[in-house]
Amino acid sequence: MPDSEEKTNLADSFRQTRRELWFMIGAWIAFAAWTVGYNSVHAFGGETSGQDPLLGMPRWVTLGIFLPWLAALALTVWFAMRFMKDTPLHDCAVGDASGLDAFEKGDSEGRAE
Amino acid sequence: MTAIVTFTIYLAIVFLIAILANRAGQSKSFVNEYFLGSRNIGLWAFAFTYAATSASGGTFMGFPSLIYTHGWSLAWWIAGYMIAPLVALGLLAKRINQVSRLAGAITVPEVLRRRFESHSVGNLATILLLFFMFFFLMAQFKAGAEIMATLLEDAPVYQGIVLKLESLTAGIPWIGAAEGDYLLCLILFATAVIIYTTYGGFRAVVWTDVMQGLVMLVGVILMLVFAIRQVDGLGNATRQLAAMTPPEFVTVSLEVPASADDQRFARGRWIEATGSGDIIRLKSSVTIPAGETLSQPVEALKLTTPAEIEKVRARVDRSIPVRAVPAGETRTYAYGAGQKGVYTSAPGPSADNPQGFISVLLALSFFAFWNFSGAGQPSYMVRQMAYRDTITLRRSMVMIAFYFTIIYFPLIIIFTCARVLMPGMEIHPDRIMPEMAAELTSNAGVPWLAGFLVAAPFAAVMSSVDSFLILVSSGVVRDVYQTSINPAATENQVKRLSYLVTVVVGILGVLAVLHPPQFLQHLIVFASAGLGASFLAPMVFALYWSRMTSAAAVGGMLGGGVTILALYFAGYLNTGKFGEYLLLGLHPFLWAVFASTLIIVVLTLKGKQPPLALRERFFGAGG
Repeated sequence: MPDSEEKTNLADSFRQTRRELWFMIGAWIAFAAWTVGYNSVHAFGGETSGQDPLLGMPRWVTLGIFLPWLAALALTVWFAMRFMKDTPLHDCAVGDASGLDAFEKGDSEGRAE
Repeated sequence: MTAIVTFTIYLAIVFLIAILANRAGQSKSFVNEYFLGSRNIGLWAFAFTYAATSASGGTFMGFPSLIYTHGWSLAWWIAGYMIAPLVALGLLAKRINQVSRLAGAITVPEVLRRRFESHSVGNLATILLLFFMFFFLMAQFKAGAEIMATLLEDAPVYQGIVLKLESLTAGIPWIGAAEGDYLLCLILFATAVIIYTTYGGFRAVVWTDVMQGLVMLVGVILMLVFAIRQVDGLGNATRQLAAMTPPEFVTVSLEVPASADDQRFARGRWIEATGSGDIIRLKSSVTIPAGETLSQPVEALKLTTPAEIEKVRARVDRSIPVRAVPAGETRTYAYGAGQKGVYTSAPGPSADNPQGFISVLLALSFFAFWNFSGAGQPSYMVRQMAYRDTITLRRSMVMIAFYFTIIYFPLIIIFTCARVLMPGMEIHPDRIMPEMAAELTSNAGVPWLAGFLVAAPFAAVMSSVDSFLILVSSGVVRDVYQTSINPAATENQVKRLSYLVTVVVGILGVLAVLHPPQFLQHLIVFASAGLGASFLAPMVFALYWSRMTSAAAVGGMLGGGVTILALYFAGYLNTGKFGEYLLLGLHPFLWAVFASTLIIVVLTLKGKQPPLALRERFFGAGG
């Protein structure tokens, strides 16, 4: 069981991780909107076959997938190196050789059920 | 032959790594080391084991076959991977590592069991994990066998062994009905993986993943360069694709002049039908007995694109004049037949679906699927529990993002080029990757390199199979035997059982996959969806919502898993084939996650808040 200082640290790192979670969800929504939104308008229809390729690919692939892919790559690098914070991972020494938790050995069976 | 030598060297290195890993782990606690590498996985190992586990047989066998069959529309289907490293690692990696350390947990079911202090949660997680993971194993075994068959098919010794094996297994129920070449390769592949996984444990799996990840990376880059050069530039390939129309499927009887010997026409042989001039390719082998002139009806593929017909005409063997007599109906593509431009635009051609390959809703489904289903896979979760510290995590995220970009997008380019270079592969689409490797290296004058290129998908398959084998055996040993049957088991007992379970699960996987479905990707998507649906929402809420109850965890897992099974069963009833039912156009994964989330929220809000001590253990002061 963590002591009170550890509990506070754990609560702080939990809040930071939750901020990162919300950022990640926002990023997913933005890229889903770009890719699915753009392509639902430009990827369909026979006329796409008559267009000259852009960077060797059909234009809808270049603008609706390749370009956002590069943008997502840049965002991931920024997120990992700037936005995400290092936090302690709180190692927990396991009690005995079996590695079983107290409740698994029946000490507090059914406590939370 | 040189390809086989290169490939053998690759296998030898894998075994060497397993031996080294076994020695490295000998001084440590067996369970912690065998199943989790003592929770001390560094930057390169974590990044590559994560990426290599993601790049499976589906990536190098199933995905290429779909690109070949449906063209550029696959770019949209796979587009979710652009943000997958951020989503998958940003969603769970930090918290699951933290919670598993706080709980002292080694397996995914154990994390859930201890987070809720509930055996019901842990046991259900184990059951769902074992059930869906087995389908994954099946798919990977099939992929491994297919690659090996392509590599060995021209070796005379191999052909001799295949014939012997066929005569040995003839008459044995289930096994005897499998094709000899496939059976032999399946046995060879499975034996190799089972031995090195059993011997080296998680550390061997991680170390071999690093090597296999590098092999895949170099393999894809080489194939990309060869492919673009051989089609005279990507733009040229895209223009040729735009002029293509899908092939037709015909049933014919072959008519030949009578001969004193049997006349055999192998699967994949091109035939220019006398009279009609059609170019067709046989989907299976056919033999015309001595003295007879007409074969049994056989299915074949008929090219419809003039440029492809001209390309193939030069390769046709005309030593025997063959007339193809129609012996059944001609089947055209349900969407795209006769239409130019279908391979370069959405929805993409489809042999079965009149609406084409991909719709807007399906594209959205897969954009969610690849990200969130990936995050919900226990094979990734267990890796996220094993990295050393958060610096390792952050740097790995960057490496994985570059890795995915270099692997997934180039694969689309390579296999759209394959359509231009290798017409008629629709007869056996799952073999396009090794066939393309052989074609590219042969055209480039470096056939020995085929062994290395084939090693790339083989590495992908191996790195996935070994991960799944370890995961399944940890599920049985740790979560069933040690937790529920014999908590007082000694380290030696656990060790022996772990080895035994890894071997038995491997053998069961081989037996189950003797008669697999045609498309690998169907099995892989089913297993991914099942695991993702069962574990994603319960794990996310377990890690981020302190109020969540054990009843909600059970309900969430059941709700997700059962929804997937129900929608696949509905798909089977609807089409008579193994496949999903797209309720309102959305993939079952989305419905399952929605159902799972709803159940968790409702049951948690209706239930009693867990004890403060339990909440503070995993969420800190105030719970």
